[in-house]
Amino acid sequence: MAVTKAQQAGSRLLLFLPAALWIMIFFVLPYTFLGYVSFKPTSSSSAYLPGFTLENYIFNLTDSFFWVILAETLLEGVATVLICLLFSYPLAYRLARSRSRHRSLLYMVVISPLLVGVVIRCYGWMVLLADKGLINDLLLKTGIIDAPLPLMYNMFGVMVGLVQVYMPYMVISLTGAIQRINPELEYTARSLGASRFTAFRKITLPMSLPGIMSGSILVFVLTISSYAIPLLLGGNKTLTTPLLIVQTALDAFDWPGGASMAVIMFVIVVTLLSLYIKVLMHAMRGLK
Amino acid sequence: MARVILDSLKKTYGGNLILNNISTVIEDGELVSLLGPSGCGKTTTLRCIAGFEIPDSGTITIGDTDITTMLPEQRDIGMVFQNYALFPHMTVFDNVAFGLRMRKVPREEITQRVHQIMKVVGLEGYDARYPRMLSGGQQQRVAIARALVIRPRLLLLDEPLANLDAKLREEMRFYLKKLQKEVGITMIYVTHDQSEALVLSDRIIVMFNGRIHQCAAPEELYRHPATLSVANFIGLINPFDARFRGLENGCALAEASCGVLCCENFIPEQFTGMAPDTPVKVGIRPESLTISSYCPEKLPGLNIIGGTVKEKVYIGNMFDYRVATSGGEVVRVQASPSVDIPMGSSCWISAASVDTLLLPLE
Repeated sequence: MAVTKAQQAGSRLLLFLPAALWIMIFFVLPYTFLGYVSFKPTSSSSAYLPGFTLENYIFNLTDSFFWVILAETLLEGVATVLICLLFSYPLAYRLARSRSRHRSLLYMVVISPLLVGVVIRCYGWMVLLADKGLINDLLLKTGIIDAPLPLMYNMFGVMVGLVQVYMPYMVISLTGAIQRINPELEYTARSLGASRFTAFRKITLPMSLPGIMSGSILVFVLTISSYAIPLLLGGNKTLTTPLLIVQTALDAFDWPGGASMAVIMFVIVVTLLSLYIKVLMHAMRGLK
Repeated sequence: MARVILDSLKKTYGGNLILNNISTVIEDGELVSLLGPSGCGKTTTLRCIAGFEIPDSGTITIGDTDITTMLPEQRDIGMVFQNYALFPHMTVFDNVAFGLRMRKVPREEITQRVHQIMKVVGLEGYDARYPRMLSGGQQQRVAIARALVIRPRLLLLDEPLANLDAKLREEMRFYLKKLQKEVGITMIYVTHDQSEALVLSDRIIVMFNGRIHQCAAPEELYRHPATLSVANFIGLINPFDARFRGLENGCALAEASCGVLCCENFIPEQFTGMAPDTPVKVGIRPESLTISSYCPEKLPGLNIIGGTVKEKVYIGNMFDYRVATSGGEVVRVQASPSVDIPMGSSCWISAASVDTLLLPLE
């Protein structure tokens, strides 16, 4: 029995259906609603009033406080990406080039932090970093310092948490990319007169750009939308856009205001990321 | 002068002896193949010369320089890999220019030398392409150009043709040989393909289990193999277990289960002073054997063995027989199709003593 083209196309559509439905219900609909709410007048008695207004956008876009918080959030994202990249690359390189039979074990060790929830890990850091935490306690007792170091409820504490929580994503992306690079390319570069470092800089590093790209986008997006880590480790000292949005929507009961902040951040992040991808794609034009 | 001397190289990995006392001399301008089955140590030898491995003991010298522990980038050795190892993120021009840029050659000279070598390998006008846009053969030639443009003292090739299809591989063999004569560079060529080694090489080094079994010109290697492994790897051989009986007017006598065989094809140094009754091997190549349905005249210098035809396959230009001898061995005979002996009938096989090899036990 012959299968018609329409039947083939139909069965292909069927494969898409579960994921498509899932994304529709839990991603597209809420986002559409978010966009809808952001154009509604604020009300103190209900989530929003009927009607249409640009007031929320005009307020936020002209509010320098909002801009400062957004800029700080994005910078925090960039810093987290850079620190993760710096720490992850040597580890990923070793992991990708390792021929040891313990390799899968090493891989598990790298991924294992993901097995524990973010909130629990943050509490773990609090035990270590607090004024009366383990680290300060140890330093005070050994007499290295006289007063506790401010390790938490500041940018440092937040960065420690962010880097620790999101580093596995970077390591996984980089390891995959480095594994795909034929080690003979480095050997060839060496035989042509490149030092170990030059071979890395000219061959391995540019060829691992796809992994750098996916890893940095993942870590960046996760960092700037992170809520629990800046909340728990930053206290009220470090405000980020996700915290600001939640405060606006829940604490100030200004749903349209929070929604418009989310939309503005979304648009800016998508624009920045597409620029970033464009630049990297140009750098990777020789790679398949 | 780029005379390469390997002196007693030893290398072990996790208790396994990969290189066991590798010593050889490769003359300036020679093309020498390292031939052997996978795992015989040929690639490790090459990697030691290139500097990607350091031998546990022994020395490697090129010309007057001891390079045993030198960094790869200081050795001035070109290297070509099986999968070409072209830099995929660079154009053909940048690939070929890489080594010159590392050497800080002036820009105009780079352009000129790259174009000159691209002409030699027949790839003019491919500068701006990326490697993935080229065919396998073209990629291989870019890899060779990239290695040659730095004018290395020595060019190492690790199974460079293994990824090409059969027809192209054949073409590239002749091309490589021609190129080597043109450029006049010393080349060490690793392969497991005996016909490739035979076509290309001035001399072939045959390796098994980390040892050099023989180092000789292709013809010499085929005619006078030093060990049974070599005889088996290059062409076919019928082995007979035998005991050494002594030397007699340039003929070595060995007693096999099918009778005493007279061997004139042997390396004298291997057998002078050998005690009688020492176990040895006698080898006769299938194409050296003649098969007949009657017993040939017992002339001096002719070994005759009786047997029965067990199997017979017609392969166009000859019959491929399997004959069970009176001594119990099954012997392969390749005979002209004009002699047609039926299956199961008794027959005689004979070989001239000059074609009968005497080989030591390994």
